[in-house]
Amino acid sequence: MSVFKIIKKNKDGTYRIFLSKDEFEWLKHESMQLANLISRSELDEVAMKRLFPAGSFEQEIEQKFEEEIKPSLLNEKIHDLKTLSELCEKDTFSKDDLDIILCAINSIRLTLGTILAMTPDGPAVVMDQDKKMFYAYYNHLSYLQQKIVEELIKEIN
Amino acid sequence: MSSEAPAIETYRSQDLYHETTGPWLVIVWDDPINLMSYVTWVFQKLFGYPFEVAHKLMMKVHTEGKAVVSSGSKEKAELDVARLHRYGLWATMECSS
Repeated sequence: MSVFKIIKKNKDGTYRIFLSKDEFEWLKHESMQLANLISRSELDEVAMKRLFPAGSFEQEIEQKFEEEIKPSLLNEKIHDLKTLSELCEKDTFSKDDLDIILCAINSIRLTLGTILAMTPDGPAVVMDQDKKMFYAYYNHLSYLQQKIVEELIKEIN
Repeated sequence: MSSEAPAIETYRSQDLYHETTGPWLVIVWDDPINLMSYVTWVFQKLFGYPFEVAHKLMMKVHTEGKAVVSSGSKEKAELDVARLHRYGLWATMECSS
């Protein structure tokens, strides 16, 4: 019996991700949209705090973290999201590509999960049509992330 | 998830899965969004922990709400916190001395 795999390692060490053209287009759009929202400081405040949380509970250390580390973190996350958008045009991916894909997908999941006020039992918000769509995206990204991680963990171990 | 600063004594008595190499502790906090497998992978990738260690640390975060995942100098702790944030994990640093 053949089992459908969403990610497969090629003989040359690269990987293929089996998403439809529409799914790649959607991923490209979402990653660019989130990158733009972050760079224009237009992202929802709660989501922004989840993407860029405090680095310390001690005020002095946190202030230093905010001033010296957060600006580069911000740039790295925007870079990862923009790179994901570009990678959506490719057919094969290197291990480094997968790394960036995971980081960027996780940023999108964190944003969606925060909007949905995710709890271990599921979303804690009233599920209107938009939220139901977000939840479907969230679950799809969770599946994709899970499968990429499984492949990479196999490599490490 | 609590957002209060945890007492340092909490960690001294815990079974840490890494050797404490300095006074600064890096703590990862539980959240309901990050996948367990993803958190395990991040611990392996960033700290080079074997799967069993990374998995135990992830379970500690999941069941107890937090875990100390690394320690060392202030600069190392800052770097580790920044790297964990890049991967979307919520980490904080604090001095144990």
